[in-house]
Amino acid sequence: MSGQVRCSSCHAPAPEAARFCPGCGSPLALRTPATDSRRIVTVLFMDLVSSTTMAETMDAEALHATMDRYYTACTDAIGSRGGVVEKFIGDAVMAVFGGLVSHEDDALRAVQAAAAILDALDEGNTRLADEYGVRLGVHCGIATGEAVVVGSVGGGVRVVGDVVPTAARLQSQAQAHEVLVGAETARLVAGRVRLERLPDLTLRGKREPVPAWRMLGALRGDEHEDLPAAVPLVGRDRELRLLEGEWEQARYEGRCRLAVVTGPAGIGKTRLLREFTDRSAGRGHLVLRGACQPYGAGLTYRPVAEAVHSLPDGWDEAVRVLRADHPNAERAVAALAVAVGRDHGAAAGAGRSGVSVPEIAWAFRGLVEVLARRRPVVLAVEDVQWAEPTLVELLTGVAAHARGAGALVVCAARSEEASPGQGLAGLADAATVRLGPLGGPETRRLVALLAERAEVTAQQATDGRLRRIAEECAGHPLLAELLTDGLAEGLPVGGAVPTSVRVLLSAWLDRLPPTDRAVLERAACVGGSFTEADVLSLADGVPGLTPAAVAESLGSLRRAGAVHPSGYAGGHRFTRMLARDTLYEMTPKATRAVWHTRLADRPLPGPPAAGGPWAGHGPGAADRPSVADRAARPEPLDRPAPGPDQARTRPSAADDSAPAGGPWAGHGPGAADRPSVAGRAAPQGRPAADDSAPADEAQGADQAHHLESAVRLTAEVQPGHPELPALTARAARALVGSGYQALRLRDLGAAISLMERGRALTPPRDREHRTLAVRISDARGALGEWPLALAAVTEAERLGAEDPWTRRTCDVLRATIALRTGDRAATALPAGEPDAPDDVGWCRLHQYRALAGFADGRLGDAESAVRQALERAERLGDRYEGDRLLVTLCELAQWSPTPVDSALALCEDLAGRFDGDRPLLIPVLLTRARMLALAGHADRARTQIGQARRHATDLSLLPGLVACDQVAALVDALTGDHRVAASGYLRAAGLLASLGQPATAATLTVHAARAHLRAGAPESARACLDGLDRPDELEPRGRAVQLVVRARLAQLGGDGEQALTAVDEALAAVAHTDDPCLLGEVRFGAAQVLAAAGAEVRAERLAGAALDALLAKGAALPAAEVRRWLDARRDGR
Amino acid sequence: MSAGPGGPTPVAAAAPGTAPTAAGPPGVPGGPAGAAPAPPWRGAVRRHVVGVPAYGAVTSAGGADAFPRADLPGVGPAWAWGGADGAGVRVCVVDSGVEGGHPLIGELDRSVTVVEREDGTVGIVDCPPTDAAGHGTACAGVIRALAPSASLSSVRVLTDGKNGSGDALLAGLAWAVEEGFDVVNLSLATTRTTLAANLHELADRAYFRRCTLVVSAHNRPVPSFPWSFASVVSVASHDEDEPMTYYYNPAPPVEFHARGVRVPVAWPGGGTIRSTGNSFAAPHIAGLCALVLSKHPWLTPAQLKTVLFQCAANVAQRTGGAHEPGR
Repeated sequence: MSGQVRCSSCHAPAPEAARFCPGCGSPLALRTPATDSRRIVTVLFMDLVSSTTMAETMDAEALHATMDRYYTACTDAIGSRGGVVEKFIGDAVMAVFGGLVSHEDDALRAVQAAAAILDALDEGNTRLADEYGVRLGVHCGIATGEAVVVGSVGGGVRVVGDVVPTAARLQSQAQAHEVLVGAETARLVAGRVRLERLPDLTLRGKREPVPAWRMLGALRGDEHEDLPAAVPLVGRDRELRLLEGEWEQARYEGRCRLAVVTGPAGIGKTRLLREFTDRSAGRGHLVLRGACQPYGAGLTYRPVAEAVHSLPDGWDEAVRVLRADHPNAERAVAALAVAVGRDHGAAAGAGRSGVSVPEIAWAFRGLVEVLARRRPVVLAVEDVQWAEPTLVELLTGVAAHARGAGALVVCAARSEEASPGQGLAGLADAATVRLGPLGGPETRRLVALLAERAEVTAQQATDGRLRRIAEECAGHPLLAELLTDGLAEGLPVGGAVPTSVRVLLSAWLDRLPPTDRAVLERAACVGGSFTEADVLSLADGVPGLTPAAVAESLGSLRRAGAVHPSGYAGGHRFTRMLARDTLYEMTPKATRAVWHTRLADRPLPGPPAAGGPWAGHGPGAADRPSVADRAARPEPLDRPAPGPDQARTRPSAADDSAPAGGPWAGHGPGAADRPSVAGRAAPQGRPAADDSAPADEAQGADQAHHLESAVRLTAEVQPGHPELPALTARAARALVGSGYQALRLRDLGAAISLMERGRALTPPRDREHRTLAVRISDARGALGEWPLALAAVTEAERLGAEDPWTRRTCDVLRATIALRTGDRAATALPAGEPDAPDDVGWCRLHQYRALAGFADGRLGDAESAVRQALERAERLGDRYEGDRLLVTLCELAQWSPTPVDSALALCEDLAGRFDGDRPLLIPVLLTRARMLALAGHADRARTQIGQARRHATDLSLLPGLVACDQVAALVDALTGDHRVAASGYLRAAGLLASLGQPATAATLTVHAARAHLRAGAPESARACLDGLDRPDELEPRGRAVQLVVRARLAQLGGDGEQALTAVDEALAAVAHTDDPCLLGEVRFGAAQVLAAAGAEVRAERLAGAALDALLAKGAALPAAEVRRWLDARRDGR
Repeated sequence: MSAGPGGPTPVAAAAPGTAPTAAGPPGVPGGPAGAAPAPPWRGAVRRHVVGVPAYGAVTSAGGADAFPRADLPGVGPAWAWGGADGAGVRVCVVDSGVEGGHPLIGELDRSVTVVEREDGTVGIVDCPPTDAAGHGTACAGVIRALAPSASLSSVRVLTDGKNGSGDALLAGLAWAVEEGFDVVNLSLATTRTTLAANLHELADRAYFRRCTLVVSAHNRPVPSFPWSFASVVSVASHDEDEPMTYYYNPAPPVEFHARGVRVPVAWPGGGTIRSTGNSFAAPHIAGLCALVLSKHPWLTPAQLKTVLFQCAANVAQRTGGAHEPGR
């Protein structure tokens, strides 16, 4: 993507396809990755201590030569490990690892470069001290973190990010000859480098203390701490058996064999090797270990040295056994001494002191032979993909020619990274064990075990997250391990990708061809799923990204398994969502912001006017009818509906037959089961027939998401961007609009999340805050989260207190919440009314009044308040509110003076309207059932209940089922099946109590008592009443019925006086209600008690009044019962 | 107020199959084929438990079987916690720390953390009331919701996110016991048998010092501690949404099931999330313990456990009184 490729060693230009520099022969980085990206880098700062003293003591020429050696040591150590010297600052050197091309082990490379520089200086210091009496002292700081890297391979780099000053400060705190590393670096090199934790450092320019570690030295390959060793090996039985078979064969034949374990990075090669060698060691075999390094000159024989040192007694033992058993011991010892670095005349390396490569191979083979004659020997060498060909030859040579004893050379090598020229061709004949991803069950078992690594663990269930990790890691054990580390740290799901994982994935991404990478970068911005068109919409200006190139690139990515077809036609999805997240985080934020904005600006395919139905919800838009809403409404309400109330989410307002009123009508299917961060998904099982096409919701939410992201990213990188306020306003509107849309679908969790996110972006003093308070507190209330409902009101008061309308509405909301939660102290409403044109304010005030009226038994008032609220809702064009109010009206008709005929007509109307919206349909059906039963059509009523029950079962609406029980019991009571009714009431009461509605449950228990009494079982009735937890706190309607039952029970028990007192109290309790059925029930019950007590005139007058009330309602069935009673008395006279 | 069992209540009468059958004491000779029938107060090990498994059992929906066995006249939910708010009871959350000032939690009385000393041993020091992992805050929020007036303190022993070392747990728990807290909530567990003896000793020490340890069972069926000790109150989850509803488990070791599935819990930063796990069942019982102790401060841990048993939804003979908030 950039210009000329240059060699990183000699800066000579190189041809595009070259893999080695034509000037100096150094290997060239394979590809030039995207410049200007955010990546995880490790920064190294190295500086001289007290160089001024040196300048005083030494001659300028000598000083120059000394400094030269220092710089050379630095550049060599850094360059040979893939690092880039960014700049020299005085005597200080700043280098970056992973700046242009990421390696999995950049942090380790940086630490090892520092160690190499220290070693090189030590050597030079001996001479300096002899000649000038001075020593060159350095101190070093290393930190790892995210940075923006500008530049290209061979062209120099610039690194910008907090990691740079952090490394510089660590360096300034380091003592002479000390290397300090920061937290991320320490974590990444753990197990490979010996570190010592220091007390946290207070660094200049850092607010928080910075944790720091001191490097004590690198661990040799045979000393690596194997982190997952605490976890048993999972799976890999077949692979282990293959190795075991090879090993058995070798011992049987009494010769040496060679086996290779291959697979991609992190697939578990080391773990398998460790398991195999541990088993062998357990059986008394001798295990020698070594590992190859990807960098550094003169490391050819390092694995050999490590293997020799891994003998129990190290080099001495090697010498001892050679001298004891080898026919040509001294020659072998001398050759090995060179390879192992024991020959002090020369640095480790072949050929320097006359020892040739074949000589070393012969000596090492001899060592293996003499060792193996004593006991079987396993030589395990890791990371053989980086081995010099000389070493590969040496290993194959051992296997081919070692004689007279059983030995096994087992190598682990990455399959994907056989460097050119260092290939594993020499190992082609070896028995090969290929490791692939773990299977599903094995992955899950591994993840579960990894999650339990700690000594003490919190018992928060992590099943869901573990499942997710098992999916994310796609059978890749290292990813699984790194991800479970993040889990323990309490990282939120979907939060930032752990650094270690990002490093691993960036290394993979950096190996991708530029076009593939560009395609994936854009796809990552779209989200986990994307289409070719999405990518192309972000391709403008990039020459390589033609439609054909994108299609081809997606094809190759599909074949490589990086993406897979998914969802709708032409859709793709990232196979590893972590790769998406990593790419997303590597893309500069400014670029992301631009892309997100562009994605949001795309015209939405499909339905109606500009931007979909929510576009009209600008600040204050809720106070005006929204055009889209009007258009979406299928039919005007042709009937000024009868009956009123509040209800859908009233927790405590119900009498015997308040079936639905209930808390449940607001719960969309599964809404309560959705986490509050649910986000964009459309709810499952949503009724198909709805005003808005499903695509609308998803697209709207997508748009909202893109705008929100654009705002966040722009605010982070360019807070003063001139277009930010406009963008923020757009994002707020889109989020709030999507929230309202989700509310309409009763996807409450998603709705709350969207509305609250929108609220965060809506400027203070915007009147939208009022609508948000109304909607959020409603939704929170529907989920029973009352403290959070109240918090939403408080937030609106904070953000919009200057606005009298908002203040007023918030007062009303507070009082409403108090009424619903039974907080009697706070139910009073401050005096004053909303301004006449304030539809939202009035709508809520009417609803409050309806709720208050219902609580007092003033049903007619409640009904007319709901009707007024409905009128306001219609003026607002607020279909969501309108629907709720209509259902409330319908439910209220059950208890209000509205005649049965009118109520049935309303039910008819609404049943049609809500046919496709069953959570709303159920209360309508149940109201109809009750009305039909009152009118004497018990069979038709039961049919309605059956339908409601089927719907509630389909939707798993438990409260709906309870409501069905309740109405069924009522119908039984009306038809005289009192015993059945009693048990039905009790069942419903028990369920309601478990749903957190004790007050309603208590009322139903009272009705059960009444039913028992009428069934002729006064003892059961008494037991019901005695079982009430707090009879004094019954709802008014429950209390009145309870008093009638008590009166009758007292009378049966012979306490006439108490009976009459209870009758008077009961009549007083219903003195102010206009609920005809309750009046009928209580008056008739009182009449029966009075008649039995001999107060005939009063009794008949009361019964007459009961009859009047019931007839006015049109309640033919109970009216008939009263009339029969009256007739019987008259006949008796 | 109805004061507990005063005869067959409608609910019990209506619920089929819950009436206890008469049976002789255990070991009475003459049982069929020598196999004495299991005494009725000992529940069979259920093939399914609700919510998060108590101990290796398969989960299912629905509550525990009714267990209408013990009858202490007058001791019921209304007696136990009716009108109580937890005032005067000191509760300690031994966990990942607690975010003080969270709207659902309020201020803490004390906040300490375990620190590693130079010599590798651990000590306890005061610390700001923060919680990086969120787990302790979630537990504290549950307790606060049930017992609004109880005093809350926090010991941070999960020093590595939601994980911690055995030494840290032992030090933190020992501190809480020494400090004389009335109730200690432990929503954590260890599978290391090397820790068992020390934990056992601490649990017994707490028991004899009137410090009630409420401990969540391990989420997975693995041998683990300290929830499995008899001296603590162990809690697993049921999957109902009612915070005051809990069940006695007739097939211990885990003794109670409380709400622990998709529980709305406080989260650092002032918000809430829904979370699942026995971690969140234990604080429900801890909160109840605080309520009971605020009314009856003289109860020993043994008596308190008896009261919990007596008031469990499947034990108490009543019409859902445990579902009442009780205040």
